[in-house]
Amino acid sequence: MKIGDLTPEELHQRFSGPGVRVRIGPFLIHLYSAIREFVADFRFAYADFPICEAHEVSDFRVRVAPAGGWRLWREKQAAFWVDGALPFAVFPRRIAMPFAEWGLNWCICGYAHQFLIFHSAVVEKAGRAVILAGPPGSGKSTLCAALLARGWRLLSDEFALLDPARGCLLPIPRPVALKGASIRLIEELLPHLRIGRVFPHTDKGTLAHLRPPTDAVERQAEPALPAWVVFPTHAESARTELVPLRKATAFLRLETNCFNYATLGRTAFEAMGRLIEAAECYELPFEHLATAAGLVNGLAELQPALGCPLNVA
Amino acid sequence: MGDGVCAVRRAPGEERIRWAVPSTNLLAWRIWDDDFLVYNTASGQTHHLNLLAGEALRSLEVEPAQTRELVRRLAHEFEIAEDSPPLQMIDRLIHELDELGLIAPSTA
Repeated sequence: MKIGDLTPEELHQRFSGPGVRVRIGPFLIHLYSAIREFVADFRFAYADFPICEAHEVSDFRVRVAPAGGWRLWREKQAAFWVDGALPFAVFPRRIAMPFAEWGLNWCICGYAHQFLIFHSAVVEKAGRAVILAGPPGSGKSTLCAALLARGWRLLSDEFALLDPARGCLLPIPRPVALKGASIRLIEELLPHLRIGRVFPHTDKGTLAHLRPPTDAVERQAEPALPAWVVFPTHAESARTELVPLRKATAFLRLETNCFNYATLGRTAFEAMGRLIEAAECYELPFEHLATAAGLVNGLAELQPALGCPLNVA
Repeated sequence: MGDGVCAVRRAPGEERIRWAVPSTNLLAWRIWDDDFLVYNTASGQTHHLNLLAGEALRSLEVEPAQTRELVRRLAHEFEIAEDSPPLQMIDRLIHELDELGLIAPSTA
């Protein structure tokens, strides 16, 4: 059963009662909430994600709950609980969905050290994945969306999860957080995908969530091998080109995008070394999105498809 | 590691020090062309070394050496004279590797 198979009322009943166990990539999240607006937003963005059986053990128990203090803040507040702890201050209830997404990011970055985690988008074609790494504002999300429009599969818009033992990337195709002007741009690029309601005045400005492609969610247990590491940088009047990077330079740049390099220590060094060894590494300054997407797309067309899919762990 | 303008003055008796990679420093390496990446398990730090520094550290990892011996080894490795400009920087190089905690005077 999927989240979207339940009616809004059924989902609300479950969220406010026993909770819902949802499989999101390699994680099982047990979610509770009595906030109807949040449940409706979640139902929209996670419609295709599978609901798990009650006996399955969850990685995180998350509760998005109403919080007091509305008179002080002049608007209703909510709180993000994880495994019985309250790691953040309360926040406006109207942005419960974006906040829950950030909270989930925090959970993964802080605790999922079975993976090497990079701040990057990841898309795959014919079994090979490209890691689009960079800080916020570098253009990786819009480039990721442009590649989806060219038939690439979404593994993640936020994290690359590298299994250090197997060297493969695990999908976590959560909703894509679109910010500001990119909302309209993605609407035009991906007219067949649906964008949820717009949240103005969040900590990151105006924000909306793109529902991930159904195919990406249905294949969320199917890993991919990293074949390319690309560092996009969007800039006005930049010459759009793929510039090969020295391996050591790419390693050090990717390290700066890694959330848990220090935590994993030598395991991280070895796993990243193997990744960089096997991958082609490029810098991609770009002004024109379509040209940049065409260049990345061309990388995949130069290589034969992988013959057999990787087994699921 | 520089062009020779910042050579480090050698302290009296320093030429007799045998430099070594401490046994607590378990080093992991990645070498691509002339770029050396080394991970020091003791400090948790990753260092990017150039060709001369990388070969010097690898040599000391295999066997500790006094400065003069290290120069001899590197001259042989690179097929250059012992007094060639890169090797005139050896004191500064050793000083930097020592500062990074990658090498230390050998106590053996």
